[in-house]
Order: sequence, then structure tokens, then C-alpha cells
Amino acid sequence: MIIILGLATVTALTVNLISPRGIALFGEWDTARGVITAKPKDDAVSREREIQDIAVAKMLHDSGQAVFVDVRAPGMYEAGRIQGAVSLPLNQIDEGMDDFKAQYPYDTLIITYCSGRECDDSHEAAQCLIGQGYTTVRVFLDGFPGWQEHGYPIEPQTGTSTP
Amino acid sequence: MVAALMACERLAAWSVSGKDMGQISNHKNSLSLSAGSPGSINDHAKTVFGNPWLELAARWFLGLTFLYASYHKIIAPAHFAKIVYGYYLFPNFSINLIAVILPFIELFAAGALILGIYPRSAALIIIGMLIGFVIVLSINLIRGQAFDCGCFSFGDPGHSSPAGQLLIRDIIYLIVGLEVLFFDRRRLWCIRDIKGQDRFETM
Repeated sequence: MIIILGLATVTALTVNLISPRGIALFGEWDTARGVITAKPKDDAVSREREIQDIAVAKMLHDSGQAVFVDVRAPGMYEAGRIQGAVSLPLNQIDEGMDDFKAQYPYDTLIITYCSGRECDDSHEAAQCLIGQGYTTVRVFLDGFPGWQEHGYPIEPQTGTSTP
Repeated sequence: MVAALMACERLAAWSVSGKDMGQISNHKNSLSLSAGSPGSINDHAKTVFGNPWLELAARWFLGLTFLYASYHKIIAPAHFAKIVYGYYLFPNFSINLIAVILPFIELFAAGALILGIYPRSAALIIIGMLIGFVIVLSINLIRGQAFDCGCFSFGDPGHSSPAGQLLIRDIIYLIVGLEVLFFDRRRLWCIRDIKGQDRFETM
């Protein structure tokens, strides 16, 4: 049994070291620090891009200078989104990129978001947008749940009664 | 490899001593005599679970299952690390280590089961892991917690695996693993088995 366990451990560490899909031996799993990540070699998560303070995100939203990009699934976007956000689902980002680029110039301040600090899709999308030539892309790490919890404007608006 | 397996088979066949042959003969007699007696169900169960072909099927089934399971974890360790995190049971420092090492333990144990290299030890490892999975799944089932980060990198957003189904599946695997662990006769298609060695040595 020790032979099997020993061989498996040595092989695992060796493969992880040389594999392009390998991850760090210790990841970042504390949501207080930002979006969680296993820290793979091609990690899209960048702390520099993250907007940690939700008040800053709200200020940028209110200024009207930033475009909020919702990268969640279309159904989640339809159910509720940050007011004025545009949908660019991560799994359809290549298909939607041409339309997006036609609408927003490369120097637009873009803020991506998804479902919060356990979701790294916003980082993946940010990296993709930077790769396409966008110069100022930030990630709102608390995503839609955090925005909603703070009572900031969302759409479609809930709580309205119909006659 | 086929030649090695055939040699192994021949070696194992030669290793069955006269005492063992006597035991087998007595066993057959006891089976025929005990039909209809109160102990017949027990004897019948022993015959079924002592069938080397059943043991071989159990070993290969478990081996192939874990081989397949390990493959997906090995090619996407970051994804698997997120699954480990999603149980909310492991300390942060251990998550990546589990995600890196555990799939290879599955792979090596699965390979050992399929090839018949120390199958009892491999079964013990698999059973240990399955007991761990069952405990982890049970805790999350009791807590009513299912991890869904709502992200594409984790699979379908809004979808989480039902812990109950996974629990039942793992218990079935556990039963299959016990068959391999407690099988005490000569195993078929086995490259290296401690039991077989012991028999050879005591001739």
C-alpha cells in the first residue's frame, strides 16, 4: 500500500510541476482576499484588476463612465442584473465579441462581473477582453449578489405590483 | 503482458498445495451435503462471493471506474480543486494538495486493480477513499449544502450534483470493493498477489 501511495504522490507532484495545466501547491481560497483561485499556471485571476470596495463600483456605475458587463448565463442575466449592464456570457464570448467591439471602443472602461467571489468567470472574461485590445478592464468581484445585497439599482426591478 | 499473466496463472496453479486441494475437495463435499440445511444460505453466499470470476469482474469494474474518474481530475486540476473547495470541509492549505495528489492515488490504485498488482492493498486504498467520500457527502447532505458558484468554469451554472445520488453510488462501489478486499482464494489475471506468494512459499 505504501508503494502505491508513494508512487502516486511522487508522480502527481512531478506531473503537476511539468504540466501546463498544473496548479500551485497552495491556492487562494479565502474569499476575504478576493476571487478564489487554485492558481493554475494560466491563471486569469489578477488582484490588480479587482474592485474590492463595492462603493467604488457604485461610484463608477453612477458616473456613467463605465460599462458593466454581465458574463453569467443568459438566464441569470434575464432574471436580474446590475442596472444598465450588458450581457456577454463567458461561454458565448467569442460569438458575441464582434457585436461588442462594434458598440464599445477599445478605451471604454469595462467592469466585468459574475456571481461573486467564488466565481472566476469575470476574470476569464476580463482577460479575454484585454486580449482583444481593451485597455481598461476591471473586475467587480462581489458580482450581482453583492450588488443586490447592498440594495443598489438592479433590473428588472422587483417588488412592483401589477394591477 | 499476456505472457506475464499466463506465467502468473501457471505459477498460482502450481502453488496450490495438496492441503489446499484437500480443502477445496472438502468444501465441495460440504456444499453438496449442506444443501437444504440451515447453513446452506451461508454456504451459498460463500460460493457466490468466493467465485474468482466475480472477484475479477469486481476488480476490473472498480479499476475501470476509478481510472475514468481520475482522468477528468488529472486533466483539470484547477476545476477539481474548486470541487474540493465546494465541500467547505477542508482547510484552505490542503485543497490544492488534495486536488493534485488524490487523482493519482485513484489512478495508481485503479491500475493496480486492473493489472492485479497487490489488489488487496489497492482495494483497501479505494475503500478508504470511498469511506472518505461517503462521510463528506453525508455531512453535506445533512447540512443541505450543495456547491454552485454559478460559473461556467465549474460546469453548468445553476447546476449542482445531487449528494444523495452520489452517496448511493459510492456505497455500491464500497460493496464491490469489499468483495475484492475479502476475497481469500486464488485470484484470476493477477500479476502479483501477496496471497498467491504466501501459498507458494508454504508449499
